[in-house]
Amino acid sequence: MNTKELEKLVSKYEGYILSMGELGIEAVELLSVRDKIENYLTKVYDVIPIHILAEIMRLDLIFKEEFEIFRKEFSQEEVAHFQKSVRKSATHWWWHLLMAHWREEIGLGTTGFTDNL
Amino acid sequence: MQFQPIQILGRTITPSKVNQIIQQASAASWGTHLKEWKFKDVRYSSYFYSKGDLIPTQLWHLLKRIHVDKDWPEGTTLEQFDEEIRQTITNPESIIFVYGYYRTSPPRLQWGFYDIETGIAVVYDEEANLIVTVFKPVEGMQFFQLYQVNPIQIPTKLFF
Repeated sequence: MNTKELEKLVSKYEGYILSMGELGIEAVELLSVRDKIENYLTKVYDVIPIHILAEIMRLDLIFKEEFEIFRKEFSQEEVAHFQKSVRKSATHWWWHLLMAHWREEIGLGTTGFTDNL
Repeated sequence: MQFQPIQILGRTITPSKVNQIIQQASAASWGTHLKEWKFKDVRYSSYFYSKGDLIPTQLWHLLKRIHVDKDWPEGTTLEQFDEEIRQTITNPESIIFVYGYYRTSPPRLQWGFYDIETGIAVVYDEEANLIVTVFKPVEGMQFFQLYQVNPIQIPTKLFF
């Protein structure tokens, strides 16, 4: 594992978290960065330094708490597009939350959100 | 094989239009508004910037790419950053995308330039004639290919 690479991703993750609400076109990059971090967590969790794990957990908590601010960065067209073309929402909570909130908003409810995956 | 004109958001994209966009984008500036610095204290030239400071957009992007994303080396100047943007846009090997930006109504036409070698992505807003952002997406050109709504990849090899 390359710890430096993971630290760089965590720094990017924090940068996007701190900029939520004004990410513009880069909003989706926050999700991609979190996907990349997840790759590390699933492959080499046991050897990741504890301070990095703690930082990821801290940022995840902020992300969840302020998810509503983040969600508003996207248009319905974009989320509908993700629903069709991005196949990660079934396993990653950040994609799941984005899709589920949106479906709730347009009155489709939150069940069966993976129908199109 | 000939390049067939493409229709997107009621506009017709032809080779001459693409060439015009390359010229415009390579000369385009950033927005003139200021952006709030929300990260750790940094220095550029002889100036120090702290949380809460308002910084010109282009410098804000450069400082974030250096100190937060860590994708550009410390000491990169605005002039060097500008040159990398220009090279990304004008490099015949760069991949060009055009797509609708659906967070405005009506959607705006945006152009994405992606240099596979450097990993640099440049987003240009045609209507505003402004550089929107410059960064190195973690998933490379999938940022345009997969995450933008119905992006069209310009077959530049057919007419360059």
